[in-house]
Amino acid sequence: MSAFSPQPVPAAAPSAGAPADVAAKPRTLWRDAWGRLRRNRTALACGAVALLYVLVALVGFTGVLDRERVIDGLATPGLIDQTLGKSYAAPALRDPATGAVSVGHWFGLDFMGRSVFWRLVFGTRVALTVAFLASVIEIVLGVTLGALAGYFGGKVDAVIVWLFSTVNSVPWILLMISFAYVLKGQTAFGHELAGVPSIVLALGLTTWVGLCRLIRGEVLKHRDRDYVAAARAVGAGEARIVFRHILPNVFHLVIINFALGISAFVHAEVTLSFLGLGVTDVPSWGRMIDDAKLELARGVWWQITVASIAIFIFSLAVNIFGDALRDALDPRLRGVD
Amino acid sequence: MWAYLVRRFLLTIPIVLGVVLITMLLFSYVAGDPARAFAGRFASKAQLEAIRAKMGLDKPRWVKTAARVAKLDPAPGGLLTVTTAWKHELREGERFALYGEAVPRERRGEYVVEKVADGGKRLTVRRADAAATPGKAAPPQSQPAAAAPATMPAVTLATMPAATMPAAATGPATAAAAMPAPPAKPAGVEFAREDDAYLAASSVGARARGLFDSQFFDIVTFKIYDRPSMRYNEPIWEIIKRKAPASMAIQIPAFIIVLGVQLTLALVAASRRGRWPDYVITVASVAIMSVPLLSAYLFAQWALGMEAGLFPVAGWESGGLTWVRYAALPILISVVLGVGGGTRLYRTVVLDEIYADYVRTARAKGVAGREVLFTHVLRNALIPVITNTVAALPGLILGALILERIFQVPGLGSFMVDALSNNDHTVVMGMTFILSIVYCVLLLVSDVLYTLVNPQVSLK
Repeated sequence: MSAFSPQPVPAAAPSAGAPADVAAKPRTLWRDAWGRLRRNRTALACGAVALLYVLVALVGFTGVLDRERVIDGLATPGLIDQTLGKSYAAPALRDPATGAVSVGHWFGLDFMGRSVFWRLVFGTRVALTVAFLASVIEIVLGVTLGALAGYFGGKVDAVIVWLFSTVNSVPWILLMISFAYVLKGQTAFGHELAGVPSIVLALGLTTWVGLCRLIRGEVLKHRDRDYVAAARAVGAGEARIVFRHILPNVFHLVIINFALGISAFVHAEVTLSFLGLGVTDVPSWGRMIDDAKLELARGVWWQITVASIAIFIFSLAVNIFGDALRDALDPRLRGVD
Repeated sequence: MWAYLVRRFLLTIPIVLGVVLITMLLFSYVAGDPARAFAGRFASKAQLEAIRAKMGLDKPRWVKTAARVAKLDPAPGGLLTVTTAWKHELREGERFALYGEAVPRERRGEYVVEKVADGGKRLTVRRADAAATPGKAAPPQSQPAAAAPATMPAVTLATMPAATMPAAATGPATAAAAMPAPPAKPAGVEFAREDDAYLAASSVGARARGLFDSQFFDIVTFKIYDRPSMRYNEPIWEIIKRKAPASMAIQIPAFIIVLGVQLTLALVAASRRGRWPDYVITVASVAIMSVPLLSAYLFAQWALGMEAGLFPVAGWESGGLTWVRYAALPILISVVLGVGGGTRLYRTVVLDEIYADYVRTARAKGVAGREVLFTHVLRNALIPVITNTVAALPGLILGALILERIFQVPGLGSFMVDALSNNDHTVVMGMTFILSIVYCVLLLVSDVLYTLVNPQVSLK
């Protein structure tokens, strides 16, 4: 998730055609972008919030979240009162049993006496894992296919354009659901795909189209530029030209796409959970909301509220930051402000 | 113009073919065993075969292959001979099941092997359980009678007397008459070897179909819409027709209102770029986009429906205008939640235009700001708007999956959700496919619209 950290990327690519400011440090796309982003306080704050979520997700990976806290319950260890509603507990600062301050009780307990707080932390881990892995699949597929199509043109281009036109002709939400639906009962390499793997695959395999189209268009533009001709003249191979020369020049699009895509993945997880195609064995934000769908009427507001707020703040932060990033990186808006 | 249209139409063909391939890939290859998913782990092989036949999964995937053809011939004494091109593992006295779409209804059921001949390629069999046959093999009441002749190709049973090929509705009775029933055995007898049922049904299934009677061609020719939904036991197409109006009643008003609000807000925001209206609209639309839909529906239902009592909590009534009462809250919440994304996008689109040279020219020659905005800018900005609108149209047909489920609207969305949770394979596949095709057509339409809106797009 390093894309959230608003640091200039060390291997900064020279922006094509931009005249270097010889007196100062060279003006690069990334340096310019950072300069613009730095002035945008809101965006920086949002970036910080997103980083905070990443940290919480990392907490989710440590041993803090043992079985007892997340999957079993806190109410009566080892013996959960199955009577409906008996295990609920409203948010409280202290554990009612011991009187000690208990983090696990801050957001209340759910219908099985499990700590909503710790489930939320675990849900953060699941949500960010799903979003990150799905983005990786999306980026690898989108960039590779897009670059191939744009650079080689001809038959390769025709096949790839056909492929993404086809995938694009299936409404995304349906395609995503269909993937999750057919993958949920499958096994691959001895592991069941139901849960995180099927969600990641369903999201990753269906979202690459936009990026692929974008990259193809950009690579097509760069293919005939002078620097590519120069690289070819000194004997660089095709792969080297594409991956070392052209891709760094279009990579900002990948970053923008990544930042703006994250929240869609998080929301998709909620949708899939509602449809019964989501995470099954561990807590997730989607499952917390889905579990709580009948609870509001009963006055049990805490689980759905905290999960919704968690998603809302995360999406908001990522969206605003992504927007600012796009404005900062998109050369078309240069000189406008 | 016409050349362009024809060319654009021809370009759609490989894409539609691609959509068929995706559907095949997902639902015939990746999907594993949908019959098992539907029936659960305790279903017998015979039950699974029956379900598979109903789902159309007993058919070959692409085209019929000769090796799968089997012949069923009546033999003296009410017996039946089964001749195949390959060797069977069935032994004398063993039971097997005969199902599959290509097996005439009156032939479906359980059989016992009387005699094995020709190295296992020719079996003489008798009915195992005539009494149980009608219950198991009787066609679902609502299945269209028209489907029956199609599944009984004359090729299959060319040697069968015409009298034994009755209409589907009279199937069981005539079957009993045509084939003297052996002593009835208690229902629910298990097979000696579980595999036999499978072997029999999948290989003896008398697959003498036409070359084009395959899963692939069922999709291409839209035959999948004649198949019954596993849950409703009614052809999918009939259900779609019945459920579409409720979806439309919510989606169409919401869609139109949303589009109007979005465009207005986008123009307001873009024309005041960097000032407070822009700031408020942008932040509000990003905020709306960040709300998880499911939570928003639940909170709206609880707050406005349950606590405030302004709207019915959930439900639907058709007939007259009573649906308006039920549609109001779903429409309201769809509008509020739908405004976000488009506004942001259209603002960017308008911004792209607002700094264009032609705008500067128009301003320079003294055109009023409002006129520049509404005639010059809006017309140019319409192209991405049309694309985006068209992209949203299939969602209109599907309805909102979650919305309809939460508010208990009996539309296509809740139909799909039902199908997903019931593992209703035919429905999930059918809905995915038909909406993709509709989408392809809409993309074609939007491309044509481009040319009407923007003469700059060349019609090569």
